[in-house]
Amino acid sequence: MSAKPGVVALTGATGFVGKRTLSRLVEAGWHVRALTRRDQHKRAGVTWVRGSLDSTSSLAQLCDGAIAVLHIAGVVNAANAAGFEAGNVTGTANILAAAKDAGIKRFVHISSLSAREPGLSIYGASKLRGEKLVGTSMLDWTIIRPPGVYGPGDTEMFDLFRMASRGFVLLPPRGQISLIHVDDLARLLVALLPAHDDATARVFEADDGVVGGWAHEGFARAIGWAIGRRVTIIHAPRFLLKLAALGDRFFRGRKAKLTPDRANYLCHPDWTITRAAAPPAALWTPQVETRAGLKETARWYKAQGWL
Amino acid sequence: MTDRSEMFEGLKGLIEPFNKKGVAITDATTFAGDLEWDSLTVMDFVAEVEDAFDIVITMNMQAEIENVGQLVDAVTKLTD
Repeated sequence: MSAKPGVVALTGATGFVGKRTLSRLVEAGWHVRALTRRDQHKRAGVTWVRGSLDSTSSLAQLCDGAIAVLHIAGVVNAANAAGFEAGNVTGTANILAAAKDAGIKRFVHISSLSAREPGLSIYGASKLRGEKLVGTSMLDWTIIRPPGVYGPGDTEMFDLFRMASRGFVLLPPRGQISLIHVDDLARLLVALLPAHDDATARVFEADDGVVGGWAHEGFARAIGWAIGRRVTIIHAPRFLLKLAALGDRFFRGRKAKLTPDRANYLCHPDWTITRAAAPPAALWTPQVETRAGLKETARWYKAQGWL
Repeated sequence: MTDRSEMFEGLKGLIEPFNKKGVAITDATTFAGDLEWDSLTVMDFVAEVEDAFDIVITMNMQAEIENVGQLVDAVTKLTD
């Protein structure tokens, strides 16, 4: 608990996880220097820096005077391996270099549980390569591998809510996943930001505290409960999901969410966290009870008119 | 003795494709300083070494390896 809140350099601040984390950082007394591609509204406690991960001059500006980096930005969907590599690997190398040049010691890096199975998806492989860069950087680093992140503002799990609202949920073949509410994840990132002896050079996996995670089916039923609808569950066989993925890419092109790479990843039967890799309880424990969190998320989707 | 020099030659062979500047390779040659490799090149090279010897070089080990001699010793130990 050495470092008092000071200036933190934040990437991915305009994304789903980043937005929530930005608010939590400001609340905790940090001054946030946040990287953005587009103009953003002025906000107390936040200095927006125009730029991107491939512009080293903007990264130098972002890191100048900061005492820690929180690297949330990443590429979840890309048309090809080069797209994942540019965002998740080269981008990470660039922000690491900028942090070192600025004399920053503390570096908190958001990876993904998919990095545990680099053979399954190009996405996971690129996240693992990003982790390796962080792990060999000689900085005081911590890596977090979130499982499935849900909560108000999320567009990735929204498809499940939308299907549930129509009464049918098409699921990948049977498997287990761990979940975390975006607010719990944001609080974890803020808690990890000051240097801690028991967080240095560690790779943490964090979830909602549900031991063994959620069966796909149980999760779909919980979403149905959250929006007040009984749902019929259909498990798509692997080949069907892959076929659907090819179709999605064909029809939605670069906007496709269910890409073949993602289908591979979704079909893996075990996306639960390793309990032994959870952050120390003294530092952080999840606060959001999952069903309550899903209900709040459903309410948000409805309020936005998405459902 | 022969084991170590064999290992040195083997690793030198793996270094060559990444040795764009044709730097002379000795035990004291450093990856960052002499070979001027950036972190991405180091990562790709480590992956080559891991595949060639079927070993895993952990991130903590990597952080301590600065020159060729240290790499030779580390890989020798891992393949024992």
